[in-house]
Amino acid sequence: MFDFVLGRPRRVILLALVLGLLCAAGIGGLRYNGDSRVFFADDNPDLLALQALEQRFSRADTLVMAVAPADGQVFTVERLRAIRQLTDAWSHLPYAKGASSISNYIEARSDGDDLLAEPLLPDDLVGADLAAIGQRARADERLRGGLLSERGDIAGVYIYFELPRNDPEGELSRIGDAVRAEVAKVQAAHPDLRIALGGILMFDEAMQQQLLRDTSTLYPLCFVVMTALLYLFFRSASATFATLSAMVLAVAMTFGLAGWARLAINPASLTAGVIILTISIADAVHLLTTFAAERAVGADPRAAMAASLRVNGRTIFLTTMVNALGFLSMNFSDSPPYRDLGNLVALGTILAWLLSISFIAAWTQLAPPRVSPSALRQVEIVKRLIEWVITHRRRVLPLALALITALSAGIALNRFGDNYVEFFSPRVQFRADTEFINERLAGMQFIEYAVEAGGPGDVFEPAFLRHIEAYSDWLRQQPEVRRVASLNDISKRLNKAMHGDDPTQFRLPDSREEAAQHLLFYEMSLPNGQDLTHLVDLDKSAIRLTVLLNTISSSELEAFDRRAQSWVAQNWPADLKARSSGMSALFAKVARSNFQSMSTGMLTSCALIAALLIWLSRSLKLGLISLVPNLTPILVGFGIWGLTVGKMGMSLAVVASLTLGIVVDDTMHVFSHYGAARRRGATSLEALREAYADVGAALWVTSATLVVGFAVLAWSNFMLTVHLGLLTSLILALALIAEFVLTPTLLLWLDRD
Amino acid sequence: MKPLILLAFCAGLLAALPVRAESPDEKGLAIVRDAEKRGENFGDLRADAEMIIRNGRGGEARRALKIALLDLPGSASRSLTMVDAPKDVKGTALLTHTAADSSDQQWIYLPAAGRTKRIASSGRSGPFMGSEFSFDDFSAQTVERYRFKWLRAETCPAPLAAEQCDVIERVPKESGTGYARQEVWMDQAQRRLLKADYYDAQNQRIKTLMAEGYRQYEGRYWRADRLTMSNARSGASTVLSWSNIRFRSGLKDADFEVNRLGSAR
Repeated sequence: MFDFVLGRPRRVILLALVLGLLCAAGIGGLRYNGDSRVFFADDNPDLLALQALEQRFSRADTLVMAVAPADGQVFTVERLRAIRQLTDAWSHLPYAKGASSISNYIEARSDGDDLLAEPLLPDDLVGADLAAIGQRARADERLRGGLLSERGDIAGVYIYFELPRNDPEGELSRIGDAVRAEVAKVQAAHPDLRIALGGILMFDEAMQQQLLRDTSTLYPLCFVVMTALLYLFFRSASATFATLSAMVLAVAMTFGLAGWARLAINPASLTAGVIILTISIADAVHLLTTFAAERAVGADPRAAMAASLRVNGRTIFLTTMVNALGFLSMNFSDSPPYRDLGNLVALGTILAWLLSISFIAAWTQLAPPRVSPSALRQVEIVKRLIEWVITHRRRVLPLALALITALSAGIALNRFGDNYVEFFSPRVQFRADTEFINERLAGMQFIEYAVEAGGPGDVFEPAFLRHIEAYSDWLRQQPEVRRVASLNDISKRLNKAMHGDDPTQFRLPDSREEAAQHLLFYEMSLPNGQDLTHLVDLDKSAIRLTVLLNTISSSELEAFDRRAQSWVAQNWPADLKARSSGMSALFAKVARSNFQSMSTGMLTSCALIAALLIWLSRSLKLGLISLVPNLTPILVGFGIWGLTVGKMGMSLAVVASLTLGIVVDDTMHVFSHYGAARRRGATSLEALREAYADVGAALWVTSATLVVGFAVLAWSNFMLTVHLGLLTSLILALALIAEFVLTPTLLLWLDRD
Repeated sequence: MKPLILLAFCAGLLAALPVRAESPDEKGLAIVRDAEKRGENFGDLRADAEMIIRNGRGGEARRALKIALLDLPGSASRSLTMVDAPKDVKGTALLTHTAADSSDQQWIYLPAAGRTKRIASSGRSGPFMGSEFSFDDFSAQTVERYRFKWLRAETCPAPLAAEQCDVIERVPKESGTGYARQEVWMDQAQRRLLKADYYDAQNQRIKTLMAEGYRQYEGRYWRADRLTMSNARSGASTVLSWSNIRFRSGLKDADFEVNRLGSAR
């Protein structure tokens, strides 16, 4: 096969290009999935619970606008007009099905002997007693911490959407553009208003924008960095060009094939390209380094490349397979985007390997690169470093082991959990706006409970309502809780209004008929675009309780939920259950379950890799020793993460598997050379010197490329990607250190003659 | 008169209008006026209605109603809707008075409290008892509240595919109806409303109404047995079935007085 590659380079390059472009043509078929639920597997029990809840009640794709006047005065004609304009805008926003705000809020109160359910704000604002209306609004417990801030200085406009989800990408942008245009119009007329946009729909839209931004910043940045590194190493335009062309082609083919398979990408799986580019350069570096060394001793291009393929062929094949194995084990992840990421990178590394031994090898025959002797200088530095480590090994090894133990202990400091707001860097408008809304208007973190009353109409049973009330009262006393919202708020309010606004009548009605009829009356008064389907289901057999929380960590959220469940178990009859769900709860649990499921994947690939290393070095002892420099960087990396950042989101669950595959490369190169030398009868010291002379320089170059390449991901605004990049980069840097400090000292200590 | 769901009742004695050169707007209005005319002066009507409401997510609920209507001169009318099921709200009654200038007033009688309450006009366009129909669909929809435009003539939707229909655009003059325009199919022979598509401001179809099972009463008035309103986005739908339709049962204005709302009927 290599004869064909080296003998007919033009044909090989043409064939590679044609095949490559055929695959890459599929890129047009790539879809984008902007649904925040993409992070959860279809069989995730918490997602199923949420879907069950939405089956009973309505799914709310909600957009929140916080309208904040600079002076805190909401109840003026001008401000109320602005709020009304934003509220009424829903009727011409795409896919909107309703809106609520103080502008269309139906207030239940009594007027003399009469019960009224009428708009809080009259049509004619100029003639109205706005001070009195403002006072009533601030006293209305159904408005506080939702449509109106606790202090009454900010108003909330909630718009509800129902997306057909035929073309999520287009639908989201259409909504985003239309909403922003509307906000800009209002803002132009009222420059003293701050209008912050939040809600799960804005999250989806922000993800989509970050995807576009990542595509236009991360990829060019990665490309520039890789070009610079390759040129620095090769000092040859031809070698740099050939390597980059092959890698870019590999990335294009990967995404092209994904497009043909109609895969939906998102910001997490999009990083596949950067990772492929980074990882695959190693193959080319190994091939071209040996090629240059052969050329330096006078071989012609064909003989030089043939020699390089002979020397490196098996190792780069094996490292590619081990890498792919590591990436494929990301399929154990609970988050589909990270499974996609693993599969894409695995595919990409295999394609890149194929292109290295065909396209790059053929290219060297057409335009033989003149690689500078700088590589030789690097070998000198490596040699001196290794000699220093060998000389001081009795001090280096204990010190290294002590450091490893100390830093690894930091793992315990990591806390699981994702907060969807913190998916974005503080630079992103969505995060700033959401934090503003969360702090000043309404809690953006919440748990929802669906409570089944029994049969149709049973939610009106006084006994049931009293159970809900007791639970709500308990919830309100909890330090984490800001607000509890349920049907009872309306029921109590209506009962009071029914009895001449007598404050002692702010209680639940005495009979189920009263409760049902009051509610029917209230429902009849609601304008188009408002209903109660989010509070009570169609046949009135279940209600939804929403608990808005303070900003708390995922583990606190889980602890709170457990406390709530045990209250329910102790205080409610056995047949009454409050099943918790909601996006906050989902994100709180996904990181932990990701780590749990990934540990299976990690152990599997670890065992496979150990078996491979044992086979490669033809020695059980060597194979087991080689695990140490492979695993310690991961332990130390997570330890340092615990000491510094301390937060473990779902993206980090895949880091261990991802890095293991890559770290092993270095070890495999060292051990295969070391093992070969030992089998030829060399002492461990001689074998060590020989191995590092052969591969030491390439290790530096490939590791530097990897560390820098993954660090590029830190320029994303998507924090899951930033964290993935930073931790991987850190672990790979540690792996290089381990390869030069741990491997030689351990071998000299344990593999004595 | 003419709540939309009763507009589907429209009837006729007159033949199609004489054809002359007219603008699409004029033609649309003429057809609708013709339809209105055919349904006029029906006197009074009583009927039972059942709604089967599906929320498109597997949930289903049933509502049973008794409806009484009184046609008064001009656009004026009275309507009374009594709830039979669900049982918690049985006996709840809704009364609508539409004046000659087509302004209207609505009241609700709550039997548990024994009280009659006025309903704010804001509620008119909202959903009626959780169905896909709006309260508005049950109250007066006079010609004056819309602008019309004749769009085209085509074969009627199934099951009347043998007939020719006029397709007329109906644009509400007031805002807050929940839709920007409707396209209405009326058969040319009898001017019966067979189908209506509702569109939002983006011109996306949001709802579709189908009227089926037309029968003629009193040798003149056409009434559909089944009306189906389907929501194009949520997949929700409501089927409204009429039964026991009786004309001229002798209802009087006094039967629709607010202070008589509580008395059993």
